[in-house]
Order: sequence, then structure tokens, then C-alpha cells
Amino acid sequence: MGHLGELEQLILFAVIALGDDAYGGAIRAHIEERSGRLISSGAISTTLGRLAERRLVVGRVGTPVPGQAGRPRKYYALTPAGARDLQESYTMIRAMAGGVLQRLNRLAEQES
Amino acid sequence: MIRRSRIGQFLARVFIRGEEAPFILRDLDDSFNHDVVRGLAPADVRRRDLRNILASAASVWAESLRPSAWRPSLVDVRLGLRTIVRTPWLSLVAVCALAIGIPVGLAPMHVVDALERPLPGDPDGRIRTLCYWRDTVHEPATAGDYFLWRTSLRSFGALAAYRQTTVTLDRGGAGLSVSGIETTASTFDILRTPAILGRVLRADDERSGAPNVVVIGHDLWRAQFGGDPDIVGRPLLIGGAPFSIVGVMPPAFRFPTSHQLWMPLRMSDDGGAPRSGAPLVVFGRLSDGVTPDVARAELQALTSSLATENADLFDRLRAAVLPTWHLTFDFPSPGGLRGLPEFSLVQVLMLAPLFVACVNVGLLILAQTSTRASEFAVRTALGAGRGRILTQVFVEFMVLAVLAAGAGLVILDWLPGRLLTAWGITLPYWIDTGLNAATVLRGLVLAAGCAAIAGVVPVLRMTGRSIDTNLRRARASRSGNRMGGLSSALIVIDVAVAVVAIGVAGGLWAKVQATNPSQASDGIRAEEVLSVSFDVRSSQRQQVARAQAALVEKLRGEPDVRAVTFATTLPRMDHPIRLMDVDQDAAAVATPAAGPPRASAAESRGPFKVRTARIAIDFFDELDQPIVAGRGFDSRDLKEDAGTVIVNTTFAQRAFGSTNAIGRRVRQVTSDRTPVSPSLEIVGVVGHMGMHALTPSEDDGVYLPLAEGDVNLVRLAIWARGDPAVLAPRVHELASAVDPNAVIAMPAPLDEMFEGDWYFLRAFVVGAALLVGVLLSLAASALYAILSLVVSQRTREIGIRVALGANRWGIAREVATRAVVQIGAGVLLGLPFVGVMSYEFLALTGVGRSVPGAVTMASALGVSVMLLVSLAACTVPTLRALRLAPMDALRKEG
Repeated sequence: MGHLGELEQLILFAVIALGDDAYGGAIRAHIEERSGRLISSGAISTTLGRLAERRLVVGRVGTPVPGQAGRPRKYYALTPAGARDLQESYTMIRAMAGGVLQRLNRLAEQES
Repeated sequence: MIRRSRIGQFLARVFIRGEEAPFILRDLDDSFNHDVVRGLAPADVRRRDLRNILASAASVWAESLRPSAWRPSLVDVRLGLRTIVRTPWLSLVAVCALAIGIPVGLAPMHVVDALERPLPGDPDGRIRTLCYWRDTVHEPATAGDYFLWRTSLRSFGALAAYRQTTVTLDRGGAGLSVSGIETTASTFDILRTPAILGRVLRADDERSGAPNVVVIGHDLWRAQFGGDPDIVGRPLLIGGAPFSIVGVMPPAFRFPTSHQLWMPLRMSDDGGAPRSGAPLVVFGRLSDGVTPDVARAELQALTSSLATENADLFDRLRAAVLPTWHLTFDFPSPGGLRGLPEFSLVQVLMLAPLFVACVNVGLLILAQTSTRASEFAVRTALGAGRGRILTQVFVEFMVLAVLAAGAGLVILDWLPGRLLTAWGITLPYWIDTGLNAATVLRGLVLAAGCAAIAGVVPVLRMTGRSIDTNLRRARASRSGNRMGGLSSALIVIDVAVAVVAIGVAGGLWAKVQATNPSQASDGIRAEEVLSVSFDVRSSQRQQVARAQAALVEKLRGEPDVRAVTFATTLPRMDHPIRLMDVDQDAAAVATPAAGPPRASAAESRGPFKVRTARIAIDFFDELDQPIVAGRGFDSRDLKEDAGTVIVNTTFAQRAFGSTNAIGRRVRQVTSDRTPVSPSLEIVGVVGHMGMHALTPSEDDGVYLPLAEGDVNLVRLAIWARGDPAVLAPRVHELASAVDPNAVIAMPAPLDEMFEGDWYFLRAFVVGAALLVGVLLSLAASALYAILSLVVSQRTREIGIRVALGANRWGIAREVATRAVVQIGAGVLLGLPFVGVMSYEFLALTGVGRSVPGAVTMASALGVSVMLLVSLAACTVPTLRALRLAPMDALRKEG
């Protein structure tokens, strides 16, 4: 299993959520909507590039759309290896959080 | 409708590069549109867009610099080897250029490494030489210094002293000159080298009245005694005196440089006061735990205490404890060659050809990579990152550069020894010109630098765009798109370099011609005069005088001898340089040559750097040299208070201009014009006789009178009626008859006598010729490659223009004009450098300023060569394009 960083996990969850419509712009908007985090298009693209190098996602170049200077979108999908890694990362986080969430919430409230 | 900011669009185009750029740009568009659809305020939309663009650009650049993107692999090496096989000519040119440039760039440090080595058996440099420096002049120690240091200094475990000598061995009646030293026995203790047969010298051999003993070198033992194992105890006649051979040294021992005889140094017990007695070379081994700095401090403290008692003798004198290479080389700085500011300049100059070679090879690579543009574009489209392609190209070129560095290192290992052998130069025995680890490491660093300059820079240019741009340009490169301003700039620089290189080569060639040994430019029939050094080894002035006078007299009685005279230095040899000032208040001004006497501008400029010689009073008469003004020397000038000199016409002209030099006075001074000699009256003016091998007719010269017995070693000038070389054995015989202990050495016709600078000039010319050849071929081949590529890229354009009815010759003229303009710009850029090089650099290196004609001719030749190459490069592709039918041109390139 390869370690997945937080940004990688966010992007992979967004790719799953968007299904066949997972391209950079949509992923960015989805993450912002769900998490409130604004990530640059370049950071999303380079992160997806690294995940593709590790064969956790595959990219597919879409058909250029007239009116966008002929620029195509690049769509991504999770590979089974990517799905396994994401699942394991998420399971690990859940296992670590198990039984401590209440304390975590209390601590966070004290801080605020 | 909200419009995206132009700045944002511009920044996105400029900064977001690489294979993912089109998708990122599309994502930026999508994000912008998404914000618009969400109904955000226009200002917010633009702000978020700009932030997204800048953050994206930063991410893309950070990604391209990620170390893992640059990791080379064995596949890259294999690709590099395949590229070499696929482009053999380009590879050959690149390897040849770098294989010459790399050793030239490595040479200065390699030479310094070779010279500045400790003696064999002293890897830690514990053996040091002791001497004095006055300002920038090295002053040797004396016998008095040696005795004082030996008893006073605690920093040295042992001290030794020696002086060099050349003796004549009697080998079956024939004389054999051999270099040796008279040395203290402690030399062998310090060097820790035992004899292979017999023994080394012992302290009791130094006693006055002890039997004459000698230790001989391995080479002498093999060559003259056939390697006789019973050599120890055999007698040997040295300078007519009987010696007993007591030992033979190992083959690798030739201390201090290339010597083969070691005789005991015999001095009086106390050696006299400090700074008195015979000059000696002193060296010693540092005591355990003592650093050179501690030893120097102790020596300087001793010197300072002596200076308080004798201020004049020790004025500005600094004690020095130096590495052993100072035993052999009289470096002009206690810090050795590395300590000289000129060394950095030489290093830069020697690296310059390599840089030029890299730029030219880079040009060729650029031409070649232009043809690989589509390969890079397709690979990028298939997912290869920019870093990956750069890594591959770097490794490809590194393979070439390492091959070149290997060849260059082999040349550096092989060539110096061959050149030295060819020129008959014997290096000190401890110098090793072979490769060492530091040189190999530097070679690899240079190779990496070459790979970066010549290989990566062109590809950076090729890959610094987005995929679609690369693909478009890759197509365009086959259909009329030009290589742009970079190639034009490089062509201009190339031509300038070639013009400068050829111009300098022309200047050097002219200078070599001017110093051709067969040209008797000094007014003496040098080919008829035999030069011999005659050294009478006696401390009795009368004995020296008698021997010198007797030999001259005997030689004059020889039927084949036309005339004989002597001096400390003969014409065509390197005369020592002194600083002379002209007395401004000289009252004695004889009849002016024209008008009233007046001080020229030069007179007030002084001091003058002049070359000097001490000559016998009959020197000019014997060599048939007329006195131009005044008189020659006579017996009056030998009186102690005579204070007279004769100057040559160059000095007279420079110092006194049109006024008469006779009766004017000069004196030797230091660089700050402090007088160091009494005022001397000029009694005569003589023509040039050649006081320097490189500039025989250009040096300012001052001659001082020399009496028999003034110096132990004189140079005899023997003017023969026939071939002077045949006189040499007879001179040997007569000298032995006059004084059996006298040493006759270096007999050679005067026209073959060249010293110091002549070797420098020859080495310089050979090196410069090699460099010019390389630079010119590189510049020509790079120029040809780029120009022919640029023109062939216009094939489609030319085809279409012809189809539209353009005049074929007009097009050809246009192509040629473009090339000629580039050549012209290069010439304009190069000519000022040619001027500077010819007038300043050549003068700086002692080559003189009198060669502008040859420089102009050579530069014109360089321009012609480059023009021919350019036109040839344009002609073939232009003719091919003109011959193509319009439809063929379109079909071929479409």
C-alpha cells in the first residue's frame, strides 16, 4: 500500500464522486463545495499526474470543445489499485479516530 | 458578460508550460466559467481566477523541479550510445572539439599540480627550503646564513646546503660534461635515500683535506661504466682532479633536478657572517610536530634580530620557508604559481576555448535537435515530462562528453612527455606529468559542464512550450519556420571568434617568422660564432683572470678562429633586465644632434626597463660591430671608478629622443626609483645586437665593461672561419690545458642559442595553432550546419514564392545577402578584439607590437573562409528549393 496524502485523498474522493465527469475544473469545484478548500487547478493537475505515475488513476483526453481555443479536458478515473489505497487510507484514519472523536470534539470546543 | 483579465491570460500563457499545460489552461477556463455561473461578483471572479492562475503556475514549476523527474537511468545511457551511432559525424565533431578543449582547460591546474609536488619520499611536504625575498625578488641563502641557521634554528631536525655545478669527466681522454652538486652529507639524511651500491656522502667527507670522493647517479653508472658492480672505489678524473667513487644512487634519484654527481661541499668551519660567502641552496626537514608556519616565524624572528644589528644588509628582507619546488623553480612569488594573479587570468584564457567549443557544439546540437523537435513533441504528448527529456538529453550528451574527456585526458597524459622529449627538455626527476586523481576529477566536472552548456540549453529551448505549441512548431520546422534570433546571434559570435582566432594566429606566425633562427637580424653572423660557457672554479680573482686571458689568447692563435671575445651574456640570449633611470640633472651634454638639447617626454617618464650585459672591452671590435656614436670601451673603463656604459640605439632614441646620448648619465634603480648603483656615463652608442630571442631588434640595451677575473663564469664568443661546431673539442682541450678544474659547457653556434622565451614562444605557437585549428573548424562546421538548416527550413516558402512568379535569382540573392549580413556583423564584432589582441595581448606575452599587417592579412583570410563556408552552406539547400516544382514543394512539406 502506498501512503496517500491529504490532498491526494481529497482528489481521489472527488474523482469517485464525479464519476465519468471527473476533470480538473469539476474536481476543484467539488472539493471547494464539500470541504471549503480552494485548491489551484495546477496543484490538482500535478497531483493527478503523480497519482497516474503510481497507476492509482488513469487519464483520458476528452474531445476538444469549440470555443475553448481547442483545448481538451482530461478526465480521470480510479484504478482498482487506487481504490484499494484510498480505502486503506480512509480505514486507517477511521481506526485512529475510533473512540476518540468525542474527546476530540471536547478539546476543540475548549480551544475555541 | 465578465471578461477574464488580460494580465491573467498573459501570465497563464507565459508561466504554465509543459505537457499538462493545455489541460490546466482548460481547467482554468472551466473554473472561471464555474465562478461566473455561480453568480459571484465580477471583481471576485477575476481575483479568484488570477489567484488560481498564479498558484497553478507555481505548482507546475515546482513539479518540473521535482528531483525524481531528473533521475537518469541506464536506458538514457543506452539512448546516448544509440544517438552517437545514429549521428556519427556530429558525435565525431563534438568529441574532437571537446577532446581538445578539455585538456587545454585542464592544463594550467595540471601543470601546477605537476610542478608543485613534494619530493619523492616526502608525501607530507616536511622538507622545506629556506631563503630570503626582497620585495618580489628571491634572494638565495649564503654559506654564512647556512651556518647560522644550522646552529640557531630549532624547527628543523636537519639542514643541508648545496650548489650546482657542471663538471668535465675524463673518459678515455675525451671530456664529458655532467651536471652535479656539491652538497653537505646531510642532504642524504634529509632525503632518506640510501645508495644502491657503496655509500652516500658522510660528514667527514666535507672536511678540508679529506680524500676526494664522489657519489654517481644510476644513469651515469650504466652509460659510462656499463653498470659495473665493482664500481665502488674506482678512480674518476673530474676536471683533471682524481676522485674516488664511493657510491651509486638508485635510478629514480636525480636530486635536485636531473643531476648525476654528488660531491662533498667544502666550506670554512664558520662560513662567515650572515649574508656573506658563496650563494647556496639551503633546505631541511621540519622537526616532528613543527608546522611550516612555526618554522617561518622562527626564521623571521632570527632575521629581525639580525636586522636590528645590520639594517642595510637586511633592509626589506623577508625570510621564507617554502615547499621544495622552490629548490628548482625561481617562482616570482613565495606562494608559487597558484599565488600569482596572472594564474587566474591564464586559467580563464585556457578555459575560454572550451567554452567556445561548447557553444559551437551546442549550435550543432541545436541544429540536430531541431530535426528532433517532433520526437520531443510526440514524447511529451505521450506523457514524458520536461525534466525527463532534459535528463535524457543531458545523459546522452554526458556520454559524448565523457568520451571526449577520456580522450582529452589520454592526450594530457601522453602529449606533454612527447613534446618535452621532442624539444630536448629534461624535467626535474620528481615531476610527473602523468594524470592524477585531481585532474581526472576536474576532467569529469568539465565534461558535466560541457554537457549542461552544449546539450541541455538547446533542449530547454526546444521543450519550454506546451504540447500543442511544440507539435505545431515541430510541423512548422519542416515547413518554413525559422530558428529565430538565437541562431543569428550564435552565427555572429562564431564568425567573430573565428576572425579573432585567425588574426591572433597570423600575428604569432609573423612573429615566429621574425624570430627565425636563420635570420641574422642582430647584425652578427650568428651561424659563424661558437658560444661556450667557461667557468673557472676558483675564489682567487687573479687565477680566474689569468685563466680567462690565457684561454682567449690560445684561441686567438688557432688557425680556424677569426676572433674571440667574452661577456656575461651573448647576443640572442636572454639578457637580464634591470631598471634604469636617466639623470635629469646631467650637466654634461655633448654636441646635440639637432638643435639645442631638450628632454623628451620619454625622458621624464622612466624608469626604463633595459636589458644589460657585461662585455669585454674589445667585444664590439672583435664581433665587427661599429660604434654609432661616441667611442667603444678601452682600458680606462676598467678602472674601479670609471662608471661608464655603452647603450644601444633603441635605448638612446627612447630615453633621449633626438638629443645626443653621449655624456648623459644613467643609473640602476628599483621600481620606486631608489638608486641602487652609482651614476654611469654613456660613452658610446652601438647598434642592435639582439638581447632577447623574441625581440632581437626591439630591446633597450645597456652594456657595462667586464674585465678578466670579474666573474667566474663567462660566455666566450668564438668567431670561426668555417663551421663553428667543429671547434668545440679543440676549445675543450685548450680549456683543460689552461685550467684542469675549469668547466666548459654548452658549446653551440650562436644561431642555435635560444633560451627561456624562445621555448615559451614555441609552446605558445603550437598551442595557439591547435586552438585556432579547432576553433576555426568548429566555427565553420557550426556555421555550415545552422545556415544550411535555416535555408532548408525555408524550402516550402521558396517553392511557393517561385510558384507565384518570384525571380529565382532574386531569392538566391536574398538568401545570400542574409548570410553575408550575419558574417558582416560577426566581422564588425570581431575586428575590435583583433585590434586589442594584436596590440595588447601579443605585446603582453613578449611577442611585440609590430605585426598589424600580418594580423590584417590573417583576419581577411578568416573572413574569406567564413564567407565561403556560409555561401556553400546556403547554396545547396537554396538550389534544391529553387529546383522543386511548386506542387512538389507543397506536397513534400504538407
